[in-house]
Amino acid sequence: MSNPELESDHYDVIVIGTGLSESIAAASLAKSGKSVLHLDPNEYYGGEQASLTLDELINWSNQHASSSSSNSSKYHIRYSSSSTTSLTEELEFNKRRYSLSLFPSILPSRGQLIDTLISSDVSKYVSFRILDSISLYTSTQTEKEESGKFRKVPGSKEEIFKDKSISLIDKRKLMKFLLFTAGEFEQDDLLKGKENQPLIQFLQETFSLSSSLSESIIYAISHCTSPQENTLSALQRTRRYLKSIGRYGNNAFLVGQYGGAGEISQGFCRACAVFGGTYVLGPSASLTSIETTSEGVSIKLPCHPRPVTASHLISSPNHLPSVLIQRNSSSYTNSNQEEQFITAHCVAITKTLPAALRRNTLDPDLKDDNEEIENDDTAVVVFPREGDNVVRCYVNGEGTGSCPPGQYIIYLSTALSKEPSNAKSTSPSEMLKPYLDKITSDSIFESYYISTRLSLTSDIPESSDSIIILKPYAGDELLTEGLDWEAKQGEEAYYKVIGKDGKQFFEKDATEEEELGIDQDDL
Amino acid sequence: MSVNNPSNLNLNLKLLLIGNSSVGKSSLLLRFTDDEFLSDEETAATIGVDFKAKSIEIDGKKYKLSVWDTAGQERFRTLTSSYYRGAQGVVLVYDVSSRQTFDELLKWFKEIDTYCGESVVKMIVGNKIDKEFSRQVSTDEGKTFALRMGALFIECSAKTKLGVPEAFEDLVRRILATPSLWSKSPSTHVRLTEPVQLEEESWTSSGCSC
Repeated sequence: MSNPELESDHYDVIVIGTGLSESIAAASLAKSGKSVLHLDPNEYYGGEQASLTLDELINWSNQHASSSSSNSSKYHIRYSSSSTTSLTEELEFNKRRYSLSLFPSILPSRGQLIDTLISSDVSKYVSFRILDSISLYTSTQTEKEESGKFRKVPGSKEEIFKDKSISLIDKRKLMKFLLFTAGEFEQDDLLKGKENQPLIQFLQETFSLSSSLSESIIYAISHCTSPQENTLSALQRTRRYLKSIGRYGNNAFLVGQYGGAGEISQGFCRACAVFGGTYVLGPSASLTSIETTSEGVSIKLPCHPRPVTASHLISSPNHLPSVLIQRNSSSYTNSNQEEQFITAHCVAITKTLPAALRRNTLDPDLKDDNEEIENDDTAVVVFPREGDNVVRCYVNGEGTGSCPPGQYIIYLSTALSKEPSNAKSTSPSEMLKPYLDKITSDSIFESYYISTRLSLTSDIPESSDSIIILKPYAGDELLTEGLDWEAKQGEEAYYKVIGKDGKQFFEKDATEEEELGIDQDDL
Repeated sequence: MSVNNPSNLNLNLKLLLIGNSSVGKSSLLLRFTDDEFLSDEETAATIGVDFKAKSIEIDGKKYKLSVWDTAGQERFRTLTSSYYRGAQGVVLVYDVSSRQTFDELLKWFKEIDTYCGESVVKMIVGNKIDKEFSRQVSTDEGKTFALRMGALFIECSAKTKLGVPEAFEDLVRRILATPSLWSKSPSTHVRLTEPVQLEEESWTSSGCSC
């Protein structure tokens, strides 16, 4: 029992990596009746979406300290230039009480992942709260010093009506725009011919919105990286966010407990295990060889004395030897355009309430209560930058279960120019520290790194039909788009194995429906 | 909103089963919740055991227990950290007829230390006492170890039911006697909205419970 081996030499599907998309694929396939072997060479669950404890984050950071990103595989998500401050005694003592996300993200209340969480019933393993607030930072460079303030952006129609800082006429324009965006605008004359305009131009010319209102829309409602974003794509994304408002509360977004993405991945892995999936993590799950055969794939693993075969293998690109991925790539690279998305990241911890989370004592809503003012526990804060990409900040308090009481985790990120040469010239800490300072003046831990993601205009070439490679998220809107992207990848992988005519993704069978009915009464 | 007094409510408790493969965790679960017995071979073949709910009455109060099984993830020691979250009680199971399953309890205690809160109540359960003839771990040895680890101890047989209801009752009593498992201790300045129920479109513009 100390050195168990696998119970079988053959599985229908082998899944490598426990990132969110892989875990969704694994759970859905196990649910449909496939035998699944799920492997991850990491000791922890979650892959690129992992939530790490403080000591795990430091180990992870040490592995990615080099400033030049390695080119072991051209399809990797690459991490580089990472650094952390050292641990104080107190942090050392509490290091396991943190869940620090490598994929800081909020979940729109309508979209692929929510649907998947509900249909798979994985929602019972994970817990979500409504995001408390979204704020915009406005700097005022008056007199001698630069100061700034955080302004909460109203999320719902009700909040807009109550907001005294917006004039009546502006409210009317804003409502007109929101109504337009929530509808089927693709055929609307207002948009015709302007689909590729920069969003800011469209807002100001077509809806005569003031520059301050435009800014609020662009950064805090549409969650654009730059005001130059193409109008059509920005509006389509915005529509989804607007439709998310009111489903679970006044904000369009949900915050996952215990670090979010990593916890959700674990939930899908648990579901896969319940449906009979086998899990091996760590060095004993690290492939020593892999080859394609006429029936699928054959792999060798330290935890099993014989080769293990499977009809299909699903993996994120970074767990596969590049020879398997790149077999056809010479023709591929020539005919496809790739885009690199380079992002600077910061993860920091503070023990003082960030100003952006403070609720104004003059807020008329709270005045009638005699209760103590309650501040926010979670927030997104956006720093617009003249002529440059936005800096995004996402704060998780103790209510998220991802840090000890009284503390806050601060995630900062900014998309760098897509030219890699620019990215190298500045360190992530030089770039983000000034913004961290605006959020909090006394952090007790700081960690910085660069991520590089490749976008591919077509599927990653697969050397065999039995190998399915999941595409990692590549884009600048990871905060609001990343989770749904992962869910979509997971579902696509499911249908590549099952076929379009097979069982539906997370299809419930009749007996299960009955059982659910009974369970509901019982609980 | 915090719950400080267990006597106020019909309480929901989360209990976990852990321990090596084939010690009879699933059998124990089924015996307790459904009063059925399936052998190891049969439960290994039963997939889909996630958790089971059961109400028990203690001193006239009703408590709802959800007892979680490992879903086979104990085999390669790959239980998710989320499995452990929010558990008030953990049942560490070994097989009295297998010394190795007893010796390896230490590894499971390490997992609990890593993933559970400090005050979580631990109970060591020596299962399969119906196999008295092939016993490898004596009752005294089990008791001594439990004492050293600060855990409750009981021996039982999922097959004959002997000791099974008592095990869970003892565990729940100890949880009820551990106040730190009840106080949620949020800092007073933080607004904590209730977690959303993903299944329901529950929110309406007029009502917000906080």
